Amino acid sequence: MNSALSTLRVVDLTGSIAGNYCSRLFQDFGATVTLAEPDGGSPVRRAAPLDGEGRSLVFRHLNAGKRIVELPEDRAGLSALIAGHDVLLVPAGLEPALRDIADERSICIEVSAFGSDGPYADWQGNEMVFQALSGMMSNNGQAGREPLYGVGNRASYAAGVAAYLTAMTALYAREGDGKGQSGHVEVAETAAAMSFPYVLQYAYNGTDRRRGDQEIPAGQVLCRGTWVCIWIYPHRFAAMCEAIDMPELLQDARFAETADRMRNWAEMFRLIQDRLRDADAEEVVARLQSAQVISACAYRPSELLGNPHLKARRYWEGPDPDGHPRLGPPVRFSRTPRARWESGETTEAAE
Amino acid sequence: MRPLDDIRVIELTTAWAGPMAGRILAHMGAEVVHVESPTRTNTWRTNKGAPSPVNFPDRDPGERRWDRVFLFNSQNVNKRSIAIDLKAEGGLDTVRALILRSDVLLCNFRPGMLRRLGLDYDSLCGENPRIIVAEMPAYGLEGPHSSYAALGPTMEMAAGMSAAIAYEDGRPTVTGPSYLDPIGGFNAAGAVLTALYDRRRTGKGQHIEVSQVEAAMQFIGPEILKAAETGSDPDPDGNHVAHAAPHNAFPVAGTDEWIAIAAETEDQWRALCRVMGQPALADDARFADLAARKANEVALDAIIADWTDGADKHELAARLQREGVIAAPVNTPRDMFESDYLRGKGFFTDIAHPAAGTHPHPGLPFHLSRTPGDYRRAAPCFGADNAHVLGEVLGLSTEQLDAMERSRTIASAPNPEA
Repeated sequence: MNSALSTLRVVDLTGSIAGNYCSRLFQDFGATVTLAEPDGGSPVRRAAPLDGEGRSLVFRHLNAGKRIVELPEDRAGLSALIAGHDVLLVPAGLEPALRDIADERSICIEVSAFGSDGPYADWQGNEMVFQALSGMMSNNGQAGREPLYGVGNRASYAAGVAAYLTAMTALYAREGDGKGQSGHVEVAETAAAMSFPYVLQYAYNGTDRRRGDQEIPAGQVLCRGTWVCIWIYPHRFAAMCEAIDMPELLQDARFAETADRMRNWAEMFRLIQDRLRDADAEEVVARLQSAQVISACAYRPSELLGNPHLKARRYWEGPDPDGHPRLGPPVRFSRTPRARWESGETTEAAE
Repeated sequence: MRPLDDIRVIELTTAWAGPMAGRILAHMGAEVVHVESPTRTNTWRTNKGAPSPVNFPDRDPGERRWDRVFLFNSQNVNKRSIAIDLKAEGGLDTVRALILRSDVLLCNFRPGMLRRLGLDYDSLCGENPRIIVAEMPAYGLEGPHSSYAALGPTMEMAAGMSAAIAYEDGRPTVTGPSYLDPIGGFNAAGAVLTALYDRRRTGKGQHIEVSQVEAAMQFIGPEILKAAETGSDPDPDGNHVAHAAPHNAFPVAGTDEWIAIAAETEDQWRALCRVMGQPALADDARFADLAARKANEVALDAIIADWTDGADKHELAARLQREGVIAAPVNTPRDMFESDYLRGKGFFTDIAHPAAGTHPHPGLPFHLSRTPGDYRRAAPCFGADNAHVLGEVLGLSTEQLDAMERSRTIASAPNPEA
């Protein structure tokens, strides 16, 4: 297998979604990954959503195919576990204990919710907490209603990518001078770094952005049960009217100029909704895109497995021996493709 | 010595996702050249239409508003800018020569653009086998939707996320103005680092395709697998989730101010009742266990909202966390700016910009002991590095640069009609 990272060995002691996604990326790109879990399994094994047999789909998504061992409780066992590994992914507080037993060439990355110090070091985090602290949640949802946190554990996945970036940077540096180093990534800080840069706007001029402050030239219509989002930039209004066969909107004084349309936006979309209610959502988007009007279907997660575009791209992998599909690669390399899927099941093995 | 000190990246990018990827590589030490067009400027320069004062320092657009806008200046720190018209005489050849003397080409324009320009990987690798070309198409380079134009919100919809974020009416909601962009930026930077690592060992470059929609689907992989295997989707209901109750945002003192509170375990629920001064709630049959609380969630939320009303979100969140309850203030930009947590992490760095002044800039979350990233310079003014880059890298003389300026091949300001 011609994978980019096939010479690397990674051990993941984090027990977290962020850490496990980081090691999943290493696995994707060819590294040999060992997952160490405490007796009774890591908390990720209990993370929702669960499959029909009560097993965590989070754990399967992140850890299928990894070699799994029991996390040693003593120093000698820990030393044996990490020996010969290039990258050590550890939870908050463990890095100092590893410092004198780790190889000087190893890269040790602490992956945690809030780090080992600071005002939130003892806080409990979940996705809603991370998005709330990051400034992102205050942007989401309707003005006047409760802000929305989002879905899933996206902040933790983002931190997984951040940890991967940190480790890869250290590995690249090591190729130059042969030396390892330590680093850390926190979910809460990662979430803040990925928030829209309104904080710099505040620094520039004191604007404290709120939901509803920004006029977005977009709306949504329900087409045979599927929501379609349409962005109507001023210079594309006529093209949009033509694409959905509503030339009468161009003659309507309520929508004559951009300011008129913004003032009567809800009414305009009520008319568009009436026209497109029974239209096929994919066809509507195809017509709009042909007219260079940005639009998209809001796919439900269940619609992605059979999605014609993803099928044409041969996106989905599997099924594994148990019939489970696997999401395709996060990125595609022309010369060093994603590593072959070794197994749909994790391999329980004693160290 | 920074890890990527020996790497030059050429950015043909706009808005957020592509520039975010370049910003990460620049943070690690790479020399990143943001190539701009005088005729079609980066949308985050916001030089079209009437200027909105809220985008500028002290709400003043100034004479060169494209150099003073917070959007562009947030994502292009540490970079250089050359402004060159690819359609003008010698423009495309100059950029091609620049790319061939570089390590990475980063592009977040629509599929096909690089090929039309003769700047795609296949056209470059013959002359520079070490080149890494990373493209960031929304839907991928091939497939029936590959030609579709996209923005962060429409990519979020295509990734299956928005349909899972909604109030009770089920209308899909997006995350901030554009959450998919930084996801794409992070993934692209990670992919480039992977290819650079491989190149260091093999000497060979390659092409990278970052479909931003597919990269983001990983972030809700378990939810997609659940739906794929059962054929059914959860009914989104605001902040409510199946595995915890309460799990919501509640109003506090101030206008549009909120606190997030969740109880994922019975211990957390009982702790919340104690902090609320209503320990009897824990034994109320309506809220006795998770199933009961889910069945009576509207009443539960109303009781908590009544209690949080008028409270200081920061003080209350800290108090709840001390007592073992999951909670956080829903931070606004001002809260972020004043955050002790972020300041303690060194998240902000004062950066002096020649046109925008000195301000604390938000940072990146990567921390390394021996080779930390750094901030070397502010985001570049439009075309500020024409002479430096084209002179240093391509060896163009002052006379040649003057001629390019006279023919409007290079520029120091966007064309007025752009």
